[in-house]
Amino acid sequence: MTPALVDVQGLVKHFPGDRALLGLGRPRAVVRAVDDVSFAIAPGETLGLVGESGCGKSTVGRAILRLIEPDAGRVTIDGQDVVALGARPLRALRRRMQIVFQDPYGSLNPRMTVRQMLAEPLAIHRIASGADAQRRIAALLEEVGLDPSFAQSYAHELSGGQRQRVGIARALSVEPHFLVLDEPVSALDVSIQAQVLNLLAELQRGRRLTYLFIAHDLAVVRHIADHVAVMYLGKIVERAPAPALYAGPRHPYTTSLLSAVPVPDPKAQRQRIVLAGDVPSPAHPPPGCPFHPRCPHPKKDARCRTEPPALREVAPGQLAACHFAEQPL
Amino acid sequence: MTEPLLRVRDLKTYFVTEQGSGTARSVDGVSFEVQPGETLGIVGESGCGKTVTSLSILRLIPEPPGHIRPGSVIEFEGRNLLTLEPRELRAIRGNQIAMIFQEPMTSLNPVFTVGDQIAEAAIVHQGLSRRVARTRAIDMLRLVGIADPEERVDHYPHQMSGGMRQRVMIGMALVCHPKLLIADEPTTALDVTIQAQILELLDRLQAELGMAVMLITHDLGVVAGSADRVAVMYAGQVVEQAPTAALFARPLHPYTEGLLASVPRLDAPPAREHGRLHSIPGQVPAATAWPEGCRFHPRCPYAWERCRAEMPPLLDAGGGGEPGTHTVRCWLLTEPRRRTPHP
Amino acid sequence: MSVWTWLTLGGAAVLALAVVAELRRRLQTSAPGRRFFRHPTAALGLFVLAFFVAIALAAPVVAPYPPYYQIDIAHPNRPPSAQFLLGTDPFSRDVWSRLVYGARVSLGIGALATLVAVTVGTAVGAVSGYFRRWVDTTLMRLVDVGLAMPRIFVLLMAVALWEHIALWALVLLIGLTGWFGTSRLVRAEVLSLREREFVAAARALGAGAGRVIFRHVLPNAAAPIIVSGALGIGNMMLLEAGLSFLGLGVPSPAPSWGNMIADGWHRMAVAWWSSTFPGLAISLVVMALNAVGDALRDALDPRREAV
Repeated sequence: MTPALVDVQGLVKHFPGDRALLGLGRPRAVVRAVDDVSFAIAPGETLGLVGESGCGKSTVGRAILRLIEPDAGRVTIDGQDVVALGARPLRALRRRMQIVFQDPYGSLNPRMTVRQMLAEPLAIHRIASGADAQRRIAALLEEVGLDPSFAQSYAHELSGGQRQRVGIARALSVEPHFLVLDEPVSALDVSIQAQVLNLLAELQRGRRLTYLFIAHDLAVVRHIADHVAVMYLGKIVERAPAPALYAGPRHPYTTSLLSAVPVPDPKAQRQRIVLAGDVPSPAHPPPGCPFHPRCPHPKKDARCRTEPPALREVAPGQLAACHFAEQPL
Repeated sequence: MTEPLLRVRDLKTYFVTEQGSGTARSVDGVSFEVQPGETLGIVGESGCGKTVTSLSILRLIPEPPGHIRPGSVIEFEGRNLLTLEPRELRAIRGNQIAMIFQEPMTSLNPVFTVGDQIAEAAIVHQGLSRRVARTRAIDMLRLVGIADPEERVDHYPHQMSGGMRQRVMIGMALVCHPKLLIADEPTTALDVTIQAQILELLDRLQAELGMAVMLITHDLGVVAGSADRVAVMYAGQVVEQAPTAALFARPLHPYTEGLLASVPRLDAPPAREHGRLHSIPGQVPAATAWPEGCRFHPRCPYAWERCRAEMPPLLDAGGGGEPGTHTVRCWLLTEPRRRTPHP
Repeated sequence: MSVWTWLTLGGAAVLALAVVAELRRRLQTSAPGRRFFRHPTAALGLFVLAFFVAIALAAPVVAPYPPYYQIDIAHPNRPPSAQFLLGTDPFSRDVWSRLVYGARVSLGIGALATLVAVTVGTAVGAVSGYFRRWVDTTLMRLVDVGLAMPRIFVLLMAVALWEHIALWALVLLIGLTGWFGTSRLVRAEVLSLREREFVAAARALGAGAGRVIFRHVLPNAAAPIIVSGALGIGNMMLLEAGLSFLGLGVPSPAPSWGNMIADGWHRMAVAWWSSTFPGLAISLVVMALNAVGDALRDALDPRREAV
């Protein structure tokens, strides 16, 4: 088996909550944004990381790249331990791992032209300058489906889809092996989503990229991921190869999530599982299994309230953190 | 056929832009009807004019940059809303026609309790006393499924989650039992499990209160599950209108076809195995420069010369129902044999 | 006033008009530019500023007499006439000429002191906002102290150390006591900008703190800095005028609008022109600066950035 390109073990990130006594007292609550997350991604593959707001998926993405400093855990990318790196080697490693953000309107500097945005990484890493850089910029723009004349545009002159393509070009400019895609199509219109997803798939094939695709839309993830990990309140509750997860989910949250996705087919009469209650706040996770207050599983019992289930293998390659994973909904 | 509750005919709302880029014709001749008790879904992507349409109905368009063109007709129960005096219009807003918006946090006033905000509509329109209105507010909170309504009525918006705030907004909108609820992307900003809750709530309330709903969204899945009829908008116009089942079974306009084909679906084989997701090439044109002829022709796989030259009117697609049930704005209806994609 | 000096005066006015017209033409294409000129006082303010800057720069050509030249000591306090446009002061010097040369000093000190204040304030605010934690806490406590101190008194104490204060020292003093507000402003902008995704993107690309601050954060924080600068020049000018009026600022006989007011103070009843015209000049320029600053604030308002 080829060694994983990205290997995350026990990643933890806690944020201190508000402090009592106007900032002088002890911190009131700790927000356990990422609570012992582990996964691995083989080279050339896509891992879809799914969950609703507050589950910690974006934090995972940023912590892996050390845009946020992890509190604990090991992150190995291409054989190198990212967490322990000093500033200099980290900057060099940044060429191998990049990120594309969700918000096409916020992820581009409003005061820079496309050309300047694409030239910057080339300058930082001394990849190219002058005419060589201009050639590379033109080639990058074409690769993401934009006419090279867009180089002189400012962000506000471009549409959402075009801005997202610029963001992708910027990430590709340093020739990374690994891309974290943080909800890259969530803010785009449906018809543009499909274009960008196709582009990402093409780029992956052409450049042999490895993706961590973070999203809340299970339908989108289905079309691009080889493996899927579902997060809830900072923990991974299920992880499986994509076909297995969509055909037979083992965790009640995954099942509920899948059933809640509206399907564009009026004839699809599904038994919709509608969860009661709100998505809980990561500052006050429930004791025991984090999902138990909303869990619709008929066999839910006292153990769920007191004992957090471990993420264990319930079928070949398929892991779930549920006491009743063998009897899925 | 019964008298429609809301009839919009040839609505045109234009905006004057700052630069010399001319007028943005955001809504450019939109017509549809909403029958009492039914849910009409209005589907479209950004820039199609659906939000401006809904704001125009209640005349919430800011007048200096925007204006509703003369010749537009918006009739509610037979009365033309566009010619009403401000006082009469205010008696309708919040009372007979209510509206809920996409972002519950910015639509709720952060310095008032939710109870106050729900009660306000009752006080203004029905002249209830504060005490009676407060009881009404508690009833509404219970109706929209908020637990412990007697306590929650004194909470502020920031103390509530997104899903709960959206329920509060629904409560505010329904306190006067309006006949028509305009819901502008009510679930877009919510998590998918919360979205399911809210959609279920809207379904239940519609059945209980017998009101009509105008559901505006970009999500075809939402419309498939909740709407009786659907109008698809593109570039400021309605391009297809049909009962929901007919639209999904037999989408006739190339835009509708393309949209349905490009939505990633749980019930279709993954694109990963089969190559690419279908996508519509190009992008939505700017409202200041709609293309000549059919506005979709630059992106249409079937377009021919007539499409480039002449704007098609809404044509009847037949399909077994009464005339006008399924209408499509496309020349393909006159020349069906051209429905083969260009190589 | 000779024909020549009338011509140069007229020329300065025409030049100022031309500058404003040209600016207006060039800015028509940008939305902020159009918003700026939508204020009727903005163009007027620009004209006033351009005019004073023009006569200050061209002082040797515009002024009919040298500023220290005492024309007729036996007959001081001549009223405004064709020969002495704004009259002569108690030391028999041409008020108009001194006004023109005084513009150099007053405008110059105002602008340079503002430059000092804005530079220091921006640097402190940026470092504080970007690095946060103990750096932020320390610097902001310093700023709190600075904002709490009574600026006038500190300045008075400081200038009292000099017999005749050098102009550069005056600029530094006024500037270094006036950067605290700017630093708070910049810190607030930087705090919010550093959370924006394009900043995270730059860091992900490997940009160091310096590049992120100078190329990404500060250019996007420019608007409030510019506005605060424009409005600040007026403040600095008034401070200098006040100090000079008290005899503690620009030392006589070098003309500054402030000390010109002081020179004519005791003869106000009989020779109002010596003090009034410099006073008017200060008022006009400060009002013009406020008008321009206000219009700038509106034009650069980031909430209206789209379109």
